[in-house]
Amino acid sequence: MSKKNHYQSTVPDHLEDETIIAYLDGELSDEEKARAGQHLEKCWSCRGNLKLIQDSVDNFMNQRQEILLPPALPPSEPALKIFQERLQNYKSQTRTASVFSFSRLKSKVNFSNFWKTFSSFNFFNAPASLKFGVGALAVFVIVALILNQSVVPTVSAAELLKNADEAGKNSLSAVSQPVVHQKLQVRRSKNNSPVESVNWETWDDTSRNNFRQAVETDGARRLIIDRFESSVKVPFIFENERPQVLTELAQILQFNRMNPNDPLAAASFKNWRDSLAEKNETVSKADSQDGTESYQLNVKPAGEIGSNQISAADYIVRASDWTPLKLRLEIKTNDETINFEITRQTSEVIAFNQLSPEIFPPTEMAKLPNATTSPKESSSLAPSPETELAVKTNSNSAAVVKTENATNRVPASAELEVEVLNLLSQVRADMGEQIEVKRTPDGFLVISGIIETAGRKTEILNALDSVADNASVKIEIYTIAEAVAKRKQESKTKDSPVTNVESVEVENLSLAAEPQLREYFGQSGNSDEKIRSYAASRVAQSRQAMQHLGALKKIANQFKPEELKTLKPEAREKWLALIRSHARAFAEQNSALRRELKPVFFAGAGEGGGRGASVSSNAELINAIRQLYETGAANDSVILSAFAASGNGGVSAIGAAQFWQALKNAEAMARSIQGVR
Amino acid sequence: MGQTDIATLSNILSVEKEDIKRHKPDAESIVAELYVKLRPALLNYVYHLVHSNSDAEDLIQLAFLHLFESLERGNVIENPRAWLYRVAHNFSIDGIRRVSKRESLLQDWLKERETLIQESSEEELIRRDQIDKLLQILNEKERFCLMLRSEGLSYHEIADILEINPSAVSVYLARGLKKFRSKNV
Repeated sequence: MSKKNHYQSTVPDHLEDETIIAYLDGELSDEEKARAGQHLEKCWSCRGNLKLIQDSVDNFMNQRQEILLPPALPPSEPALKIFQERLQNYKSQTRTASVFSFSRLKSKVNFSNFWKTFSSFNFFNAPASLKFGVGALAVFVIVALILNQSVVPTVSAAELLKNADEAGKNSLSAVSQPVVHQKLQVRRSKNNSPVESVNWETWDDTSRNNFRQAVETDGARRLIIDRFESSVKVPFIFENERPQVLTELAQILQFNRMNPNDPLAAASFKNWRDSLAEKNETVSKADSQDGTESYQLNVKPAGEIGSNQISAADYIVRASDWTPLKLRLEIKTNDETINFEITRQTSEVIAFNQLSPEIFPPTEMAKLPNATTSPKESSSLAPSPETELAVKTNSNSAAVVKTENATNRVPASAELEVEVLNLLSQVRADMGEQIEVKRTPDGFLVISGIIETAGRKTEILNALDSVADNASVKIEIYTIAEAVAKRKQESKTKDSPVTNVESVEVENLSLAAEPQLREYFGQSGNSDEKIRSYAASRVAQSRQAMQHLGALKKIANQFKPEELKTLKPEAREKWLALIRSHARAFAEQNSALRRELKPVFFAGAGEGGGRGASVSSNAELINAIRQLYETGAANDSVILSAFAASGNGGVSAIGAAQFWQALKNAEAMARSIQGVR
Repeated sequence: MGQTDIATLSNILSVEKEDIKRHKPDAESIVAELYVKLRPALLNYVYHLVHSNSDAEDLIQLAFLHLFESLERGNVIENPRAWLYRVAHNFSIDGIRRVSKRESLLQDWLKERETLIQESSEEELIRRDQIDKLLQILNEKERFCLMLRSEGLSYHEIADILEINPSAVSVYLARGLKKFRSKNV
C-alpha cells in the first residue's frame, strides 16, 4: 500500500529487514532485486536500515572470530593422517569383495585399450589351437560365474549383522530427529492351518522414544492405541483389538529377546543370537524376489529347545547395502509348530517435523475403564468419595494419608509438580530415599515413600508443609515400621543409603585393585589401614555421585516431552535449577573422585578430551541425562568391582584408559547439563 | 568407485571438477581431497555446537566417512559441501545418540590424540560459557542460520541443512542480527 505525501508523490512501503538482508546477500530474484534497489535509491530510512544491518553483520562476524571459532585450528596434516588411517580401518571393517568382483577386474584392466585390440581381431581366421583355448576359457568363465553365486560367502554371521546394524544407524544419522517408518507384511502359519497375513505399519520416533503402529484392515489403515486419545482423529483400534497374528508375534519376539517394535532390526536379531549358548549357523547367498542379491543367515540353536523358543531363524539382508529384507522364524510349542515370516515392503527415515501430525498428536490422556486396569490400581489411586481428615503426626503409630472429597479436587498443575520436587530437593529427599512423585491418571499428585526414621519423616513432612493442604496433592509417607504394619503379609527391607564416607567399611582386603594400591601405599606397617580407608572413601564418593544421578534422572523423567513444552517459564526455570544443581554436584563429586584415583591408577594421564553433550532442546537434555546416568552407573560398577571385597581379588577395569576416558566423559556431560538454560 | 562412471562423478563433485580430472575416479582419494579443502570451515561450524576441538574433529571425520560410504554405494550427491554440513550438523545436534555409534567406529581410536591440540577442561569450560552467553539470546534456528551463513552457504543450502523453507532463512537471519543489535553485543 502506498502513501501519498503532500508533494503528490508516492513512496512504497519500507523494506522488511529480511528483504534487506537477502538483498545484501544477493539472494533476491532479479525482479525483487530491481524493486528493492529502486526503493533504496529513494528512501533514506531504508538506506539507514541497510547500513544498520550491514553493521550488524560486521559485528556478528567480529564476535564469531573472537568467541565462536575455535581458539586455534588443530594442524591439518596430523588430522589428515589420522583420518586416512580411520578410512582404511573403516574400509577393512565394512568392505568385502568377491573373488570375481567385476570392479576389481576393471581396476586392473584398461578396458578401452582391450576393446580396441579385441575388436580388430578376427576370431574365425585364428588357428584351431587358439579357437580351442578361447572356447575353454569361455566355458571356464561361465562356470566360475555360476559358482560365484553360491560360493562360500566371504561374510561371517557376525560381520553380516554388524554391517546391517551400521547401515541402519547410517540411515538415521542423515536426518535430524529421525522417525523410522516401515511397512511390513507379517505371515503366520501353524501346522496345517491356512496362512494368515497382516499388513503392519510402524513409526519409531527414535529421538523421543515414541512408537506408533497401524494395521490395514478392510483396505483402511487403522492406528493401534492402548488408551483413548481424544487427539487421535483418524480411524483406530485398541491394543486388545489388534490382529492376533501381531499379538502372538510380539509375545514370541519379547520371549526370545527380540525387539517387538522392530523385528527386522539387526540389533534385534543379534540380541537373540547372542543369547544362545550354542548354535549352528550358516551364511549363504540368494536372490531376493526383486532379483537383487542377498545374504541369508540361518541360525539354529543347538541342544534342547523349550516351548515358545525359536528353533530356527533366517535373517535376510540385501547384499548391496545390508538392508534387512526378511525374517523367518520357526517356533515349536508343546502342541504345534508356528512359522512367522516378516517381509519388509517399504522403509524410510523421515524427519519428525515432516511427519503427518496425526501419527504423534499431542495427547490428552484419559484412560477408559477396561479389563486391563487392576483393581489395586483403581482403589489406591482413584479419589475416594468420602472425606478423610488430614492427620499429620510425628509419631510412628500413624502414617500420613490425606485425601479430600473428590468434588473439591482439581488436577495438579505442572508448576505445582515442579514445586513439590523443589521442596523435596531442599531436604535432599530426592536422593537415595524411596520418595516418588507420581501423577494419577486423573491428574493428581501422589507423594509416596518409605523413610527409615520418624525424625526423617517429620523433616520431609515439614518441608512439604506448603503443599500439604493442596487439594490436588496426596501425601503417603510411612516409616518402615508403619509400612510393615500396614502390609501384614509383606516384609520390606531397605538398603541404607550411604550418607557419609565413614559409614562404608571395607573389611576384606582381597580387592581387585589391591596390586595397584599396594604399589602406591607401599609395604609399610599401616598400609593395610590406608588401603582400607582409601577403598572405602572411593566407594562412598562413587555412591554419592550416583545418588545425584539418580535424582537427576528422576527429575528429568518427571514430565513427558509435551508437558515440558507447556511448563510456565518460572516453573521451567525451577525444574532446570534442580537439574543444574544435581549436575553440578555430580560433576564436583566425579572431579574429586578422579583427583583421588589419578595418582594411583592414572599418573600420566591427560586431563583434556572429555566429551560433553548438546543440550539445546528438551529432547537433547533428557537424552544427555539418560546417557550420563548410564555412563555414571557403568563407572560406579567399575569402582565397586575394584574396591568392594571379593574372595580372590578378581579382575578390574579400574586402570584401563577407557575407564579414565569414561570418567572424563561423565564429567564433561554433567558440565554440559549444568550449563542448560 | 565401483560402477560409478565419470559423468556421474563430475556431477557429484561439480564444484571441484578440475580436481577430479587430475585424480583417478576413486572414492577414497576424492574424500581425502574434500577433507583437506572443507575441514577448516566444517570445524569452525561444528566447534560452536560442541565446544571442543577434539569432539568437532571426531564429528566431521565421521561425516566424511559417511560421505565415503555414500559414494561407494553410488549415491548421487549434487552438493557435497552442503551435504557434509548437513550430516555434520545432524551429528552435532544428535551428539548424545551418536556416542555409541562413534564408540563402535572409534574403538581403536580411544587413545589420546597427541597430535591434536588439547584444550584443558577448564579452558573448554570457559570457552563454552562465553559461547553460551553470546548465543543464548538467539533461538536455535537463528543461531544455526547465522553460523551457516557466516560460513558462506547460500540460503537454499542452509534451508536444505536445517530442513526449513528457503524463505524462512532471511527471516531468521534478520531476527538474529536484530537481537544482536538490541543487546548491544
